[in-house]
Amino acid sequence: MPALRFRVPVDAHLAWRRWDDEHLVYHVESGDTHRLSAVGASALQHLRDGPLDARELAGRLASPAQLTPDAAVLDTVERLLADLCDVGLVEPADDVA
Amino acid sequence: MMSPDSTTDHGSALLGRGLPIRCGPLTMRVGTSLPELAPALSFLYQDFPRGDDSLPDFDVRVGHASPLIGRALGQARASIDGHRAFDPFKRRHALPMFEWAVNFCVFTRPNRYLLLHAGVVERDGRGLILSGNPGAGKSTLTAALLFQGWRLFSDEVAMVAPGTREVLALPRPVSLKNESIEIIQRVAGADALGPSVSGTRKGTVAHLRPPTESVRRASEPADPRWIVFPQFEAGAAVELTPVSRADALLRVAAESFNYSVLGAVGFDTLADVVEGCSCHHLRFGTLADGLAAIQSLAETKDVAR
Repeated sequence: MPALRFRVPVDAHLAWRRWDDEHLVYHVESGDTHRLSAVGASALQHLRDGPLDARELAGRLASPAQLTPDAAVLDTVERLLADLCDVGLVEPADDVA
Repeated sequence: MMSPDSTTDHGSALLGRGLPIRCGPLTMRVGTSLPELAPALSFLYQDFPRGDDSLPDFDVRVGHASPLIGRALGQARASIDGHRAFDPFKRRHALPMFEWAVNFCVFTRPNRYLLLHAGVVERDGRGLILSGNPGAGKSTLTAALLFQGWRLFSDEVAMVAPGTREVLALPRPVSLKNESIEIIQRVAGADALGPSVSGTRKGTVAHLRPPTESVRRASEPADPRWIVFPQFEAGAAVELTPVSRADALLRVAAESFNYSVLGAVGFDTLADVVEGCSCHHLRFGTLADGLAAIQSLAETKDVAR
């Protein structure tokens, strides 16, 4: 069974600001302002580019450091995706390839 | 310009069709049917220029609660733009209720600006934003700083024009409560304050008349350079600690009157303000300590912006 993919909603408008390692993103549709870690901000930007499942996203996040994500990293990414879904920044993608 | 010599004119206008007052970017038409209120309003607003009576941003009046019952019970009420506003209140509370009615209008109407719940003062073109909850010490610090070379912008609201980093001045009377009244009276002199009114929902309230210079220069904006979150704790040692810009934005946004209304424009405007400021939490146990900490902050060389 294909893994569930996630994405930033296609009609979402996000405004960003970064200071050092602190990232703020303003979600226009909800009016909420979110503080993200560097990893969270990077994940959100990847998911804005296209739908990814947890393993794919973990790979994208680990790639700059040339690391292979292990089970612990995958677990962390899954929890990150759940958190981003909870606040409405990402959603399950309908088209699961 | 209004002046003490024309008090009679102001009094008759206040008691008549209302007096249009220009305060920074806003024009408010104010009036009362209570004869005892006119002198206090004339005193507090004596330096303000008249505004364009055809285009007020809002109209605030305080008068009798009703022709018969209100007078008998010693009650008054406020109206905004001709409509009754708030519940009737004791007639002797008319002055603070008038100021709170104006506050309501200022906090809810001018959505062409980003409105932050903060005190603001300026010196040498640089603005200091004091952001915090009621009781944090914003108004007391704001008032005291006026006697240390700072210009009054507001003790309640920082108005920022979207697309700019400019903070605009709205130098209305500074509201002081309880112990702060005597503290500021010692610094400013008794003749700088309007009458004290006791028994309000905030205790005893008095208003510091805005310095003439602050009113005269109300059209001059400031470039915000510091955001300080004051926290008064009686007897506490003074402590000035850095606050990250992300933290500062979130805290200031939480105290904004219309951040959510302005959407992404509000976020970008506030972020631009925060980006150019050094941000700090200030815990202080005495006014002298708080002022000294702010003085040291203002004398520090600007960090790279």
